[in-house]
Amino acid sequence: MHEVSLVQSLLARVASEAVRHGARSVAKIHLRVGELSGVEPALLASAFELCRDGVAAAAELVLTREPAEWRCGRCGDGLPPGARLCCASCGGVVRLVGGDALLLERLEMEVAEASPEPAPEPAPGQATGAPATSGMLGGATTG
Amino acid sequence: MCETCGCGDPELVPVEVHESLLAGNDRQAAHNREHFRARGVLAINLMGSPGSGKTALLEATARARGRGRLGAMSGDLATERDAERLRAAGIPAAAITTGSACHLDAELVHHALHRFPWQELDTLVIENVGNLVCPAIYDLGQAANVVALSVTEGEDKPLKYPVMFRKADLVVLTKIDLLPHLPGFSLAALEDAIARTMPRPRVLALSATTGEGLTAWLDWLAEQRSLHPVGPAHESAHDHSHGHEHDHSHGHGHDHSAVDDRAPEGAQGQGSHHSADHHRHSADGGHR
Repeated sequence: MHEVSLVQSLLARVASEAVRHGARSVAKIHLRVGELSGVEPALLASAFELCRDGVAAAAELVLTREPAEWRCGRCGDGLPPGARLCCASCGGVVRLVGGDALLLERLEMEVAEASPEPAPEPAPGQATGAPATSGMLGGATTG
Repeated sequence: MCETCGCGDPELVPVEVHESLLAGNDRQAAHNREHFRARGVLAINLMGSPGSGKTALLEATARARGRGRLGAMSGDLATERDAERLRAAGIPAAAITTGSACHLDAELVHHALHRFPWQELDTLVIENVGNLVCPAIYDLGQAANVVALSVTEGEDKPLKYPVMFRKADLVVLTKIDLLPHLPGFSLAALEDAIARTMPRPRVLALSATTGEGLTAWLDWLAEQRSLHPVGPAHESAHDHSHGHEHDHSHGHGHDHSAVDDRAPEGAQGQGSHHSADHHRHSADGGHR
């Protein structure tokens, strides 16, 4: 169920990027979805179909799945899927090094080449306040 | 193509973003966390299935602690029944009704803080919506995640809901007074499932009905309070320059200027994301 609210956040973010870059529309939205992100890619895609609008109404949602990857924090050994979360080599504590991403990676926007007007500045209050390339808190909420 | 023929077709421009879809929630959660830290309130995000015994655990906690400084916020789709139960048990409690939302988010919690005397508490338990899926991905600003799992739910729940159990700092196994009626229940199987999903497994088994095991839970809460002392604002990941939309001129009762005034010397601020590194979890803690 939370996929719908996530898509609404996504569409707001995409719209602010479109304004920032003076785009007419957004052609592709690239998302990275980790196995342990708590989001089911198929449900996310369905929610996107339901909610798509505005500059993203015709956008293609491109989902990249990221498998869960656990590694020992001490010796760096990887763990096989489903293993007990303790390093078999040295007994060290393992850490999740991949698989919790829920990341808007990249957009492809259509900008009219012969457009006479310059790209407008982002409207106050419309952008989220984060710079476009902030890389803020990549992945899910904890970890 | 367009450059050569001049047709005016749109040009595709790639824009790198690299931001979490949860960035907005995470910013609000960092803000909540800063409030909790500044006031020395231990915030716990209590999650679990509907009927796993979250409210009963809090009722038993309230009775055991007397009318101390424990308080709770209970999230449900509808009704204030859980909050009413907790008030009847003697602690301040507020309901957060989510309508159709299957989880609490940081904004809902923040709004609820405005109409709740949370600053007077030393421990605020945020009882999430009963659900083993969605609540796990929404940071609320808590210091620790607790998952209540009842013995009747089955030992394989951690394997079925790995996202939730990965985020847990503690699993409370509830309703152990029912074990005599569950001959098929295997504590070893549950421990194994938890060991495959929780990187630092820690389990406490208890019964809110008989009180068995409750002392270990109260000790855990005390331990968490000592691990999450009042901390200076600059230790936080929260950055008030980040330009989020929160308006500090709003009329709620807490005082943003008081962020540092109760910070003990040398207190190390730490968010939930790092807390696990500061204390050792043990797989056998609390088990009989």
